[in-house]
Amino acid sequence: MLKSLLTKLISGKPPLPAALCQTAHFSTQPQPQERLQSFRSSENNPLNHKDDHIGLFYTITSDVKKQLFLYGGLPKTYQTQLNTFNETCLMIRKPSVDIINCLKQVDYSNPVVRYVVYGAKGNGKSLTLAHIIHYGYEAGFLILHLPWVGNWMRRCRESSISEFKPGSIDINLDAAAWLVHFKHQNSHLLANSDLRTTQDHVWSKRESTPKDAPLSELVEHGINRIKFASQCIVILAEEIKRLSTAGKCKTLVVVDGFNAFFYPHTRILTEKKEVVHPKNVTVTEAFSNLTKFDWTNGAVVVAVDEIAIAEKDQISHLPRYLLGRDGFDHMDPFVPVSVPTYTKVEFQSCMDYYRERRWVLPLDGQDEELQFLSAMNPYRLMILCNSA
Amino acid sequence: MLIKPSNVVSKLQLISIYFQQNSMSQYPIYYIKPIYSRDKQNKMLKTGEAQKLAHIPTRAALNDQTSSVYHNDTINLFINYVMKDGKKSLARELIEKTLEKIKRVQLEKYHKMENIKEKEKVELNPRIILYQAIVNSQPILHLTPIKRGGVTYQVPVPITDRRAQFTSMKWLIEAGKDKDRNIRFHDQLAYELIDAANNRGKVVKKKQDLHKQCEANRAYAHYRWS
Amino acid sequence: MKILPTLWAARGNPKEPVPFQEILPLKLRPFVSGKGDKTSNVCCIYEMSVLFGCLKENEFKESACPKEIKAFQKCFSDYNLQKRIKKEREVKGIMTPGEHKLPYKQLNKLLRMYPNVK
Repeated sequence: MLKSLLTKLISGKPPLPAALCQTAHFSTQPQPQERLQSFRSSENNPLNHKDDHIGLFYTITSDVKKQLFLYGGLPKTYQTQLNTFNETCLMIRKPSVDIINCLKQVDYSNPVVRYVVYGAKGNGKSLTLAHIIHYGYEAGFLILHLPWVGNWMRRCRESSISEFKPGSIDINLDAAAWLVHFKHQNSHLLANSDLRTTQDHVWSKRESTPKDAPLSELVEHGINRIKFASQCIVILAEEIKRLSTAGKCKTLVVVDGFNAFFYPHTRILTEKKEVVHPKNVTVTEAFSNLTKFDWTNGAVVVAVDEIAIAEKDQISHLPRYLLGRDGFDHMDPFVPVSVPTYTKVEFQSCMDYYRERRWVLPLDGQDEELQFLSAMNPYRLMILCNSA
Repeated sequence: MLIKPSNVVSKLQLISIYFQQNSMSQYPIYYIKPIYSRDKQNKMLKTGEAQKLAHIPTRAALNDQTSSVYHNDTINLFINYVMKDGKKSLARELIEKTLEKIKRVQLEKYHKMENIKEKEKVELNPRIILYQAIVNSQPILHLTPIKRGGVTYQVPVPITDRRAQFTSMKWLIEAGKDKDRNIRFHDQLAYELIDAANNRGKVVKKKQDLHKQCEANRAYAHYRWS
Repeated sequence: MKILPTLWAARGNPKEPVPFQEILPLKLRPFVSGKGDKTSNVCCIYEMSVLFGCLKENEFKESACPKEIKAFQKCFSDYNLQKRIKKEREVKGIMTPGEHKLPYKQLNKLLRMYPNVK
């Protein structure tokens, strides 16, 4: 009786065929004697990623992931997926391959090239940046990575009046957290004592960082003395520009949600509850500095996102609108890189990956239906497959 | 063109069938229910039944009667039981998140297992877990109140399938609501479903308690009710 | 309490024997009422007791008593089927000759067929 109930419950159809009921013939890690699945790439080093690898998934080892993304960089929903799948895999897509090719071929004695990554909500901008950070790490760049400007402009933990720049606001707790992130990501390069300050920096009557001190000392100072954290970032930006131009290191500046630096309605308030324009936040100066083209031996990859600004103003995802007049004048000329929705190949690869990870049950007609429902948007596809 | 039901005998019976079928319906009696499943439609096209029904006025399909690959009558019923104030979209989102949570919990267990044999035992399909939970928490018999001589006796009585399924679904949802303030309903419901599917947890205990009560009251069943 | 004579005066002072007054016609009704005809859901008591015995032995684990559960559920579904058939027959008016306990609908049908003609 109960069995018949069970079969009735499965919407009048006979019990699932054995093939669908089988839980595991695949192991979690691809075994050496098995042929790699069609959606995976054996090339796990982004230095070698080319057009052939587009649509394939490559794995990031957990050590690299810890080093690069411990304090941010991968979107939270993607992070939960990675925890469930028990591995860190990114899809190799055209925008990131294009930027990587550019980064390989550009002449670094010329002023820095600025790339602006844009796309509709959920198309994969943040993950494109994550891929480029991994490339930068493998290629030996010094990475200045701002995971999400919205956290600073719209969700700052604490704001205070700046000592060094009258009329400015400091966001010191967030700044100190960022310095920890910077130190962690570039620990291998900061250990190299070639990077030294080019000037004296005086913090107060008793504290100063002398000339030719290692850069890590400057960073440590900012972390330990939270009062000076924002100013520390500004000084760090200047120093790194000078060091790059001098040829001591090649720098990769990666910012997600860059347009938040130009959106006037932040959620940072003065003590009198007045809205602070990003111009009046000290850290903005640092990153505006870094994204200028008056230095060499580096690259700037920036993503502009609708979600970084208030919902009522989320009208268009295009860079001219999101950057506004000031932002556009600042960034012009830049290389626009569009992140489109999935192509058919990428979509198929994504579905194959979900099926292999046992996340989605294989069903007839599933791919076609999900193509229409998600409109090939990667984020929408992920949400649909969550309950699939 | 009126289509008469084939077992009509008298006018009275016709009206009684009318009232049974259409007591709340906005449609006249001759409107047929829509057939929205693609498989059924293809079958009917093949056999030629589709032609017969092509010119009969049809009721409009409800919003959850889809031709989707993921259409599932049990889950639709469950969503309806979760729904409050007619907020179907919220109820649907909650159940989708519940299924997602079940998948995540099961996959975590799956990845922890080292043996392939042990891995095969872990059920990764959230729907199967839902069905199993419903079946495991269905009571076999229940108590009905019978009032005799001013006293209401709780008499154990066999239960219909529909009633049993409704009771089990209701208990599962109640167990999902019985939670700490900081836990989400869909997470709690997911844990309850997984427990019930493995024949342990609050709901299965409630069912067993009901059976124990029935056993305690079995004397009343033997009584000759007038 | 009122004194007796006033009581008698209020009621018109009837004397025994009371004359019979035919208020309603002295005829039986041409139909039977269906009020007392509801059967209680008394069924499957034997299967129930067997089931309880088995469950008590196994600490109310259903997986230990599949046969008893099946038998109980079969008994119930049979009973329901019989009930439904009986009801359909009543509605249609089919009667089996020699049946000792007719339902009120069928009795009424018979009475309509063979009324008390005066």
